[in-house]
Amino acid sequence: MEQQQTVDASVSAEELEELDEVYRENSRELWAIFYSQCSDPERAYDAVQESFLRLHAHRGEQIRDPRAWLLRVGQNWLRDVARRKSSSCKLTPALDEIVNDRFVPQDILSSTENRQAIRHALQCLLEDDRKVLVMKYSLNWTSAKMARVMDCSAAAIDMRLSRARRRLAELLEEQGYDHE
Amino acid sequence: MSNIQPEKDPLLSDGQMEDLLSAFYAGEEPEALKQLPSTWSQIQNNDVSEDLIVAPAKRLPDASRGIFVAVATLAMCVVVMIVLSGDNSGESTAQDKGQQTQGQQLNNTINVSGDGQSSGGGVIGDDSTTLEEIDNIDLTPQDDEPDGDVEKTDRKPESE
Repeated sequence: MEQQQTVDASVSAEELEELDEVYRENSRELWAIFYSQCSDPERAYDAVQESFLRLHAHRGEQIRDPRAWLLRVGQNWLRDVARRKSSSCKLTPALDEIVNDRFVPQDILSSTENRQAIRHALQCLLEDDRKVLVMKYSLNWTSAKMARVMDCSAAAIDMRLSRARRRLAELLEEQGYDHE
Repeated sequence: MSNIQPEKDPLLSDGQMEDLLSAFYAGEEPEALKQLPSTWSQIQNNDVSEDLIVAPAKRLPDASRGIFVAVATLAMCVVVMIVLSGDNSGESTAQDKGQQTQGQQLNNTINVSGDGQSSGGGVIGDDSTTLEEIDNIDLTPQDDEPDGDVEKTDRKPESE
């Protein structure tokens, strides 16, 4: 009996190690993709966590491509949440930042407002534009790498990036974004 | 010397946008993303398995249940057949009744001639009006006009 428990514990530890490894390799990229889908950092993180918890709980047929599996699970979860969101109340993300004592309230308000303005403007962009922006500025990917993922040329990626930046600047200007 | 200053471009420049986006995305990434799954409380407490319990398999129907279903189906079929046959006989009776009524109505109809006579020759009005059936109506002028119904005309008699 004791031997059986030891075997279970070692298998579990091995599984956890594997899970951590998959997480190290994919978590940032998955977060970035989920973020480009919902423009909400916390929800994108929840999607990452949910997909890894399901991977951990998965029993049955072996998953050949964990990254693709995690991506699909996370995206489906985000869609479900978006459907439910319309009937639920909205949390205020600013509350999390108020407890942070690094800034005076004025700065927090200004920073929060600016962040919200940028998130709102990002939501007005096309999803592919958001993807290239997040790959470039969050993951620091090169145009060539983005081109492989997006299945197009590096020149097309650069063009898309430039257009996305310009469009975002216009949207921020329309919203009266304070960049001084 | 002019006081007109060049108008400042209201849009953020490309360089400004680069800086802005880099700073923005750096701040967006949650700190919690750096924590490995092995440190998550859900995994340490094994909450996952409780959340993702698979629904129990449906109970297969046993023999008695199958027999009950078969008998119930058979009874249902018998009831449906009885109801359908009852409906058919009802329809035919209604049709017969309809035909009979129509026939009676045809027999009761009276054909009326232009002269006010009926085929039956019976009196139908208070002023002794009768009805007689004829095949057609003769529209040619008649020589012997009724005494009481002499029409006044401007025509002179031909003999004069």
